[in-house]
Amino acid sequence: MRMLFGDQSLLSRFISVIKVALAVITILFPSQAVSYQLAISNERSDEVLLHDAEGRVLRQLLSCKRPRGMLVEPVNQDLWVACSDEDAIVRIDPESGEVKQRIAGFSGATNLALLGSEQLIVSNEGAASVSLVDTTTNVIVSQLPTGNEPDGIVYSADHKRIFVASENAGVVHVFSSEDFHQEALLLTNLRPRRMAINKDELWVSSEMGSRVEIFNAASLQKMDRIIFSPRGFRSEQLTPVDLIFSSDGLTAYVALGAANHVAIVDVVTREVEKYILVGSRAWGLELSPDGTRLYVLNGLSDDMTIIDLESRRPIASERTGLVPHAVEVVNR
Amino acid sequence: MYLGIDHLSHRYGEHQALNDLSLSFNAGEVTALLGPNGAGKSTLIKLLAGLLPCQQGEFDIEGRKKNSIEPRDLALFGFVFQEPALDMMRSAKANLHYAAGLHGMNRKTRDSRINWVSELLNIQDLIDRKPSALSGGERRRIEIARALLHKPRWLLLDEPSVGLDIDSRLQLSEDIHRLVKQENIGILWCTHITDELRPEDKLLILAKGEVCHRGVCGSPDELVQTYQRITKPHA
Amino acid sequence: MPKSYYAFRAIIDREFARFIQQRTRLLSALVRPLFWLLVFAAGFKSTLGIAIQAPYATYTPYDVYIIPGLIGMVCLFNGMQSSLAMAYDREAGSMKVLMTAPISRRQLLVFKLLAAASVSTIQAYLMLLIALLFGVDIPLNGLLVALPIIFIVAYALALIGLLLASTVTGMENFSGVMNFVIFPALFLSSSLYPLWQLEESSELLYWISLSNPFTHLVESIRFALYLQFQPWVLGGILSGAVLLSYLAPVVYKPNA
Repeated sequence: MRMLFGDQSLLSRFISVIKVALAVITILFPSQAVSYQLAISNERSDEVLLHDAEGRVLRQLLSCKRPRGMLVEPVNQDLWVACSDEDAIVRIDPESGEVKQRIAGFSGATNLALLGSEQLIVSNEGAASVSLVDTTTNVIVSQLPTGNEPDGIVYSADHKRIFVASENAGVVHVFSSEDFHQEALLLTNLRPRRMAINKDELWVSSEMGSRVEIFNAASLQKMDRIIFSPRGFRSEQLTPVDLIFSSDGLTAYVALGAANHVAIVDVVTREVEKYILVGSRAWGLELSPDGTRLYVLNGLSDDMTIIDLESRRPIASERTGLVPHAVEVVNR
Repeated sequence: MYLGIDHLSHRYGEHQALNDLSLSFNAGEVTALLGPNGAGKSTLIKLLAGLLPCQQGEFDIEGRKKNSIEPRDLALFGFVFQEPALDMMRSAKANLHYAAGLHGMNRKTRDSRINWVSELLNIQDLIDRKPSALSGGERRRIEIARALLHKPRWLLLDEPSVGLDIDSRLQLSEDIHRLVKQENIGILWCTHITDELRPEDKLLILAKGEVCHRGVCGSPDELVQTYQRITKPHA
Repeated sequence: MPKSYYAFRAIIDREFARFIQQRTRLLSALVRPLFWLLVFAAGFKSTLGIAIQAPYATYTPYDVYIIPGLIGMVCLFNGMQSSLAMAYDREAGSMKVLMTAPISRRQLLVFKLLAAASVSTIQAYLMLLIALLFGVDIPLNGLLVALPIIFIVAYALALIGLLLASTVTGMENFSGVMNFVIFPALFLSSSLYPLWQLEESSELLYWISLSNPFTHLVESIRFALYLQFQPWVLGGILSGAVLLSYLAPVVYKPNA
């Protein structure tokens, strides 16, 4: 520099500019302190792993055969895990992993939903039914027949109805939450998997139909559908599974399965606002407690992609166990 | 202000272009350098411009003896080469700014020098135009202007009037001789065209890399006779 | 300011003036990488799954992946172009104006290289701007931080162009050499596909690409865009550039 310009301070001035620029950047993009953890069920490696909010594995919480659906109890924050190949559900302490309760008798237990403070509904993939279980007595109180391979379970906003998707049968069963009789059957497109309720709308993902169907949860009329079409993908590759709403109900996030993307949908206009590239076979979804992050499980690449929802960008992908299925926020 | 060349020799492979050449130039004079093709005129200019490495010999620049022309010495020289060297797509003014900048002048100095040289060579109407829109003679005047911007002690011209029409050549000769008087520059003028020179101009005839004659030009007829007499044996 | 500063300004101003005047050169400088980005990469956007590798923290779409390679492409082409222009100047006689200025050969060449690098950097950012407008996800903070790295890479590539120009005589030959250098440099590097993909198909091609300096220049840009730096690589590039710049007047003789 001196050779060329005879001005020694040019270099030091240059370095100072870079330092200032980096400082400004650090101020503009601060990292945030978070206080929660994530539990991820891994089907193939038969374990539930505990991760920090950045996605790093902390330790193994539970070892059980083919863990799938999970649920966090609102009162004591314990974690229920459906251990499919053990035909059982297990309640654990999400900090220590201590098994507090174990209830058997669910053939291929897949998903769980809370029914009041003392009852759970469990979908039995192997028995074409859902079971109602009393968690205080460990007794299966009732079994409601469904079509083959029941999967997702949700309630209407007023808790008067229970919806159960039956993958194989291509229907959503509508049960009354008072007497559990089947009120109606919603005909859906191919292989309905998961559902989500947003006020009076029931959104149902159709795995083989490459779409989400929207029903009125009160009148049970089909209202709308959203067909996904990220550029460069054939419709067969679009296998939407999990879906989740933002807390204000204005945005929906849909994992598109073999299309390796997550779709961000405007609930009002039904428009797909963005497709975000994640790992292989986007499956389970979960939002961070403050709604700023979306966690996406990638079933075939054995990892989890963390999406920053403010910038709508994927920020990291972190390894988890083999074939991750479901993710729940724990230890808030 | 004295420029001397002592025992300069240069060889291109087997061909001896200059052979033990010793010359001197003073400021305030025009020295014409004549000679047949291949005499070594261009080689001499290139050596003075530092475009060729000095193989043998010395330069004496105002009392400082050196084996090679260094970049800072070039501030003392202005060059106009045989091949035109203007950026055709930039205005003449931009060309002048470029050359002045290369000689380390700031904006203010460049502007004042360009004004000065425009008046000196009467090119005020030309500088805002692009060289592609100028005639051969006008371009040459721009090039001479360019060579003068940094107020050199010596101006070296390598066949500057090649391709110019009669009026342009006469104008060029007029400008150069006026410069010598006005600015007290020393001029080394390589040319084939004898009617541009004035009787009082110094004369050097080069042939086969050696100085064959030193004197003054004399009248155009005398010059031609001298030239033929000197160069015939070397033909 | 020292005199050499004004000489540098004169050289860089001329380089910019030529760059702006030569519209077709500017257009092709932009069209070339944008063609790759908007046509080629768009087609591969979703199918070429880029596995996670540094500096990326997650899966990267192909159009994001090739951005550093395209920046390298712009700098490589412009570096060659400016050396071609020097070869042209040499033949056309304009080089003499430069050579008879009171600046050393080394200064002359380094100023020329800095000027070429400046033009390359501007071209690269123009390309990035257009890419951003087309929705390619480039981190904005990375664009600022990568500026000095992109400039250094542009300088290194202009230097390589210069050294290449010194080995050929005449413009026609140089154009031919450009093709023998540019396309292998581009394809045998990590610009268009990650090296692990090359390794899967051919170990030899992988090692050639790993030894290709262009790979490391592109990777240093890639890392810088994500606010990461590889000190050894950068140190190597800088010291190589400084050393070669010092030796440049020995190798490249811009005389007529």
